[in-house]
Amino acid sequence: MVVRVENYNKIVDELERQEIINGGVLSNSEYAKLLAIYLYQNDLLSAKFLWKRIPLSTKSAAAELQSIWDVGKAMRRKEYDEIYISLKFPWSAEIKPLMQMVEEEIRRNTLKLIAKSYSSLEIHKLSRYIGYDTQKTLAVAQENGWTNDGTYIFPNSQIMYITILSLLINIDKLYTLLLWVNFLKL
Amino acid sequence: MVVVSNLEEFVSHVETYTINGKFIELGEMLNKSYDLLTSELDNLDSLLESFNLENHSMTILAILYVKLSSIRNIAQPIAVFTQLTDFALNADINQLQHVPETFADLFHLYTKTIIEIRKPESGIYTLERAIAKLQEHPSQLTTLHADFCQLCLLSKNFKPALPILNNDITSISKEGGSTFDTKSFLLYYYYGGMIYTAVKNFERALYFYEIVITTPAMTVSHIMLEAYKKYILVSLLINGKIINVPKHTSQVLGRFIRPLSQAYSDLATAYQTSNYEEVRNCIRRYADTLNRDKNMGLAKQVLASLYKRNIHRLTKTFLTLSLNDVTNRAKLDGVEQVESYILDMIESNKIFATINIKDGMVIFHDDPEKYNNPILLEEIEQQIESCVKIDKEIRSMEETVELNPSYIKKVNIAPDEDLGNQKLSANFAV
Amino acid sequence: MSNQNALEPMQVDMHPEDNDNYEEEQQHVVDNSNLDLEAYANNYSGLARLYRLIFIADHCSSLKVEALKMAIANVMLTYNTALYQSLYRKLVDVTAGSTNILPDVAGGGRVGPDVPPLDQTWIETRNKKAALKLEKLDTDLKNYKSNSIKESIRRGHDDLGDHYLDCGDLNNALKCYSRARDYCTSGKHIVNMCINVIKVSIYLQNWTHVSSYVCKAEQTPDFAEGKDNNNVIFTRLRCAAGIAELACRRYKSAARHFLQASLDHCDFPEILSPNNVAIYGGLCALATYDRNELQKNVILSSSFKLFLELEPQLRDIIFKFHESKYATCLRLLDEIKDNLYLDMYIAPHIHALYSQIRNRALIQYFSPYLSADMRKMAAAFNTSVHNLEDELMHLILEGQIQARIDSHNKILYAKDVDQRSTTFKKSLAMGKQYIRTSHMLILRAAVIKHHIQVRVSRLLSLYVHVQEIIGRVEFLNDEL
Repeated sequence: MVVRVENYNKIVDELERQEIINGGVLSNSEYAKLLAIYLYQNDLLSAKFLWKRIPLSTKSAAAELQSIWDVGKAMRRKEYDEIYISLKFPWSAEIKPLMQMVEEEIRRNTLKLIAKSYSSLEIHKLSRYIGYDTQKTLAVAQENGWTNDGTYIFPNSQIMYITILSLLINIDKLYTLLLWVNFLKL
Repeated sequence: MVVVSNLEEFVSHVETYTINGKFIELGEMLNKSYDLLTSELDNLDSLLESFNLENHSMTILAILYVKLSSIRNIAQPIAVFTQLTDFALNADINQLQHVPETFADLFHLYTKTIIEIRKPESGIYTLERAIAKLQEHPSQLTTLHADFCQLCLLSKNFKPALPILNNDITSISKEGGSTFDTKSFLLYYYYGGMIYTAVKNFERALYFYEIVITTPAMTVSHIMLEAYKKYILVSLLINGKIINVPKHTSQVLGRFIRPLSQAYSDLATAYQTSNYEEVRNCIRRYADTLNRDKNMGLAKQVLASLYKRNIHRLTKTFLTLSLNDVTNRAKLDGVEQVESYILDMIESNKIFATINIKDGMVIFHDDPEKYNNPILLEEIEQQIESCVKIDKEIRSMEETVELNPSYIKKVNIAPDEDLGNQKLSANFAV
Repeated sequence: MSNQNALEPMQVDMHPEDNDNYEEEQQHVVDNSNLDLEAYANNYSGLARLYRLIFIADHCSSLKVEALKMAIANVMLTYNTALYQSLYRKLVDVTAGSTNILPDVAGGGRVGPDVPPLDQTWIETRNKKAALKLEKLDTDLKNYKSNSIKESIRRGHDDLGDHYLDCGDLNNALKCYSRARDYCTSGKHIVNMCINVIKVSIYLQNWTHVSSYVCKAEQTPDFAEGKDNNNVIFTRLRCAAGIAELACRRYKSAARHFLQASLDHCDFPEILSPNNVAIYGGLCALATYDRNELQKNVILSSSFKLFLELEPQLRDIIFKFHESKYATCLRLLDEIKDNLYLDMYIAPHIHALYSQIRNRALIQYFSPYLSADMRKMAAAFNTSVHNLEDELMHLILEGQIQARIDSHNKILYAKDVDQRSTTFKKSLAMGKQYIRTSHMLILRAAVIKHHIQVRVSRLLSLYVHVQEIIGRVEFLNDEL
């Protein structure tokens, strides 16, 4: 099940819209879906406010919803151990693929951040950050071309801070430029 | 003057006025029929059936107003809310323009009612539509804006408010004739500021609070006072100090409001020392005030921001620094905490740094932004576009002023348009 | 009546007008000093001598008694009986105090062994004489006035002013000197009146008054034409302006004034000595001038060179600074510090001036380098690497040094500024600001058009509303 990021944005928009058109309520499974996608998008602020406005009766009736938010809470507090523990919840078939993606996304983002922020760190710390045991951690490091000396991992320091999008400078841009110049001449 | 005494008469008069397009007379009659309609509460639904939104929006407005005013005596109150939503969506704009104030009043009453029954979330969509109906264009402020924001705040649902808040207001609706309700104006910008504060768009929040505190004032408004307190806190979050308010700010601010917000000025003074303990003590000292004002959470954010600000100062000063030195200089509790703060700041692009645990130090980098990429070009383009838009807006304002008879009389010369435009462009070029 | 309005003896320590936010540095007490009090006092006349002696008495424990005795001897040459009594009380306190601390020193009673008794007869006769003189001067003035001889009236006012000054009644002295203004018939008289007012205003520490009368004197037509006596007056005005600027912490401007003084015409014992000019001007210049200014206006200045000859230590300091021998320079500065703390006009500024000089030295030390070894730098400034790091950090944050510290290798690197990026950053910020201001302007036009204004009648309802809403949105700031 591969859904592109843009499609998730669309789903979020639709669910948010639906919530207000419905007079501020969604179904149990819609809440779960929206909350999980917020986590996937790392939009923890929206997740927090959504959690706060889900009716108490809904919350208490759905253990899974509470568990999704447990992940979100841990993410907000940056408690990595807690994040991976709460992700181990036995998710329902409907939510499971989403939560797996959340887990992968967290790991991917964390690895990106570590590559950007560390030139060396302890192996056990990296293993905590990505929620893998030592062996798996070392494997992931190797995959990324990071070396280690048995105690420390050395993330590759060649980082590009900005990913340059290939926006074409085309004839339209020239036209806009012309308009500016005209405008400034006035 | 027509005073109708029963529903049949009411219907027939409505029809006559509607067919002849006499909306002003219709309005007058509707105003006088309030008591009649109230006395016929049970029959209003069947009455509604004889009208349609396409032709009778004014009349339906009057009937819905009566129903809503007597909501406690109505068998199915929820149905009224549905009718209102439908009305907000489908009412005929041409008829409503004769009674914008009543239209606004209907939805003020609606807002009040659903807040009373503690269901603010149920009205967000309805109010959003009602505003769209009342507005001539999306940049026009109506008295319903404040109600809308209040509902969003109370239901903790901020995203729906953002499209509306993001529109910079260029004109104000004429619902109430030539004067606009000041309270509604202040509340819109105060609530808007709170919504932006909640979603952490602090720049925009500050802008909104600033509008509140610079509103012309002869006396203290408590909305202004509360806005000023939040203005100080948000200003500290963004700038690390209180930024100066514009010159046109009312004297009321300096004379009355500032003395009333002593706790906040003291907090700002403490913040300036960059000393964590001092800020914490100040917050502790004024805990009662901050809690009472419901600003404790924001004050704690201010405190947390000081750590980050201090780390940020280090990045401006040092190329490398040991983790222990960072801990001491930023007054944090241990290397672990330093790491988590630095990670957080790198993640949000506040600083650029590399942590080297093996050697126990941090290397700080310059901002790698080289201002040579298409994203930036896009940004510049957008900025220039807004400038062009603003310029147009100001030109049209200027034209209006120049065509104003009393202005012409005052300057006592033929308005020289060229000169005016030149002045404006000169301003702009800067 | 002459002594009733007499100056409070401690007026010198008073903080008039805008001085109240200055840090209290007068509290600094010097334990020992090698100052030759006699020679020092001879540099000054009148109230200046008294005030300076009192200042030393208050700030130097070893010279306290000597300074007080000398001040008493001097005050007995005037009509200032109030000051005499207060000084006497002080002297008694000091000697009594010392007997308490050192009980083995023999001394019976409250009065110390070598303190003569209070001269009550002197006080009485002096007061009587002062009153007589005042009466005479007053009658004279009345006569002149009835005869309407302008020149005599002017002199009468001046004489009266002199007499009040002699009695220590500064406020009345100021009044009399100012009144002379209406009877001035030549530019010379006006300048003379200005000098009188300036003098008293300096005693009163009314610095705005000093500055404005310096201006007034300079604008007098006669003065601009340049006559014999003018060089003396010019230097006096520069010194007065310099002291006023110094007191107001405008050190650069103070330096400019003092540097224009001329030694050959420096004759102002009622206020300061040529040595003071050298010290005040030299230190202010060192604290505020950049390398070029220092070279051009101080070191190569033929006129100021003469002043510096009077203070060879200071001259060495300035030269060492210019030769980039900062360690020596700073050490020498420390050596003269104690003596400077005994100077009533410069003492409150020592801390500020010294730290500015030090910062300037740090900046100058680093200016030619792309990178500098901080261990060497610390040695050059007699400090530890850690303290140097702190000092540099502040200078960098204030934007005084464009550099970054490599704390790991203890190297200071010059920061290389990317002009293009900075320009982009600035213009983007400016654009943002422009858009913000314009939006607010447009909104404000609409606000005014719709008569939006907070008025009295709405107060209560607004209050209720806000209470209701702030009560409900607590979650907003409930972070983490």
